[in-house]
Amino acid sequence: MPASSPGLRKVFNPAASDDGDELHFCTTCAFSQACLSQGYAKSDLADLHVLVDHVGPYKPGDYLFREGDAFNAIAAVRGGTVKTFIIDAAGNEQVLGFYLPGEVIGLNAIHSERYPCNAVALDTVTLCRFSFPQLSLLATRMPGLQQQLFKLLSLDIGKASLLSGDHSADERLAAFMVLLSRRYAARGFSPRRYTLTMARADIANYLRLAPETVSRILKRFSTDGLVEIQQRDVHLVDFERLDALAKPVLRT
Amino acid sequence: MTDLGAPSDIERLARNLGRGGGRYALYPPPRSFRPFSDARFCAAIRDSNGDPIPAQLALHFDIPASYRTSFCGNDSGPRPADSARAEAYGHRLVREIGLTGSLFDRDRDVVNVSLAPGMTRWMSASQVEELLSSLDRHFHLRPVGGLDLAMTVEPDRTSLSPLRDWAALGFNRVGIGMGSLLAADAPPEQRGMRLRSTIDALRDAGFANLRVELPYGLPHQAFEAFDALLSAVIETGPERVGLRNCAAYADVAPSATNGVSSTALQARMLLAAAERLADAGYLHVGLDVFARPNDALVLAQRRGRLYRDALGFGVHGPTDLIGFGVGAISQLGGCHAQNPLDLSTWESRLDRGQRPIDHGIELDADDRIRASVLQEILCQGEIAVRGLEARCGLDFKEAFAEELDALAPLFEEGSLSWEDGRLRLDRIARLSARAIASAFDRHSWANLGVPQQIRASG
Repeated sequence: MPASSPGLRKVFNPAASDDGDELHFCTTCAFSQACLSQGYAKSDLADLHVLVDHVGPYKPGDYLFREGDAFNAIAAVRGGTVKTFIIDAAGNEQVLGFYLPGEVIGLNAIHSERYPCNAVALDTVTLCRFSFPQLSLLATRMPGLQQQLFKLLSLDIGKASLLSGDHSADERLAAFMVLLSRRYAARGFSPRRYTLTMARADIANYLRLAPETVSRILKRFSTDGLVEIQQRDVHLVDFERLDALAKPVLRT
Repeated sequence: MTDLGAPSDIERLARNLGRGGGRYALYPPPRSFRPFSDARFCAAIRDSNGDPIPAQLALHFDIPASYRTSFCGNDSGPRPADSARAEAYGHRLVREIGLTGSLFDRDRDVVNVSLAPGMTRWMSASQVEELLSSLDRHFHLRPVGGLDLAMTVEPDRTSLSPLRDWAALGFNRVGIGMGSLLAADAPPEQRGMRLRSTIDALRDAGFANLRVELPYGLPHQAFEAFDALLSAVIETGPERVGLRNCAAYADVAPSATNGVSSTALQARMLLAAAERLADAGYLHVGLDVFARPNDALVLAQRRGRLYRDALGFGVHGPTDLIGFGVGAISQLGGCHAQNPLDLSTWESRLDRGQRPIDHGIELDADDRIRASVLQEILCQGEIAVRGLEARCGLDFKEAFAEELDALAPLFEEGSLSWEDGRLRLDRIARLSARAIASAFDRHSWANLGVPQQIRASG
């Protein structure tokens, strides 16, 4: 009898890659590669007094920061998903983006020294906060880190372009699915199977579609054998066709 | 059981029936439910609205136990004075529909609506019509053709309204309970005739999909009497036949089933029925359910869309279930929830304008995987192990090593086998799939003896 069987676990994109400690970077760390390639181990960062704070866990719905809050740190997501959004003049929420483990939030605040948007945890979120003044100082001594920062900045700008252009709803949704796949794959998770951590209303808002349109398109994708979807679990069955559909949006 | 050679089919079936197992209409079963707040219920609904493709909805109405009909007999019918109660009950159901319906996104189609057994003899068609129009205001009901509207009637216990009134409301799935026919007052030689006249009346009223629920394993039920009734059922040609195991039926501990017919006799009845139904052209859908080859159940099974929930088998794939009424069960958004079992609590919550949800359970990762295994066993008669492993990110034989160990005797005797990455149930095992299912049930009676296995948090 299964009396002593351990709980069966499911591990596609686990909520947290909480495997770092005093001496080791987390596997999903946005900066570990840049630092290690420059010969800086995590202990060296501490010697340089670069503050690396592990914060959280935040519960679903918790605000990480609000629009207008003073900016002094950027944060990498260690676990969970963060949604950023603004409230427009009409009082409606406009979703700006989703941040997965290993991705960095707060980059769009560098310019004005205040956060230009809200950030909220969609599930259990843990963060790694870097004091920004000290990180930029470190970047002047570490060209690889500087490059990494620039790369992150350009990625952050690039993400917004998913919505620009006259692409069809099908193409944008396919691009959304393919981009999520690439982002999970980049962090070592399965590119073909992932669990959507955002509600369809958030996806729809982000893509500026109606929620029922998102569902209708996904149902069609599913009938056409592009994807299999069970509750929040997504399986990209025919990645090539989905990728081809997303091509006009992603271009690469 | 003989000790010479392989056990016979009847021996295997009897042994499996003896292993027990719950109804497996839903997993985890109601006995695992704990107090459950309305806030969690609402969060579960929001959660289900947030799925990329939110599940379609199945709605059902439950009624107080004293008015329900039992498929195994022994229930008392309503008295004339009860119609005022039915009226009041209906009004509260309408309030409940309003309170719960507003929580669902409007693009979630309702594909199934069903009435508790006994509801058609307690409530009139016009009372139920009010409920349906209330559903129509708060939910998006699929148009006729895409909507299964299910009700139950009993021979000799005519519904409160003429059958054609129910047909006019759009009911298109009718279950026929035989409990009352088997009660002592009906002479055995008249049972077939009474069943026939009921079926004729239903056909005349225009119902095209009939399901007869034939009980077996009743106390003092002789094989010959069962077999005679089965002949009558086959002769009337319903689209579906359900065999109700009244000995193992219900969510009761094995000790409470003492004094009923032996598993050997139950096995004999079940196997004989399965064979005679097969000869008459019925296919075995799963558990105790048989249907004609062109029936929606069979087609859904072929397309992998058969789904089992608290109402039994459904043909629309995974649907979220919402129950209205006293003791009604809902299944959605990773939780099961149930209304209060006593009428006065249900009434007083609604009278205060509150949703009546009372207890339930949030499924953890373990529950979800087991529920998915049970769906495959009960709906498909096999576990597509490779698909399950990919979907759930586990190694089946490793994750379920103890369960498979416990089932080793069934592999030895051929009830279970491995075939091309699938764990297949043979004909006998499919007839007694509850026993196989119970091996994968962390909440089963056998396991309840181990207190640490019952999660403290629901």
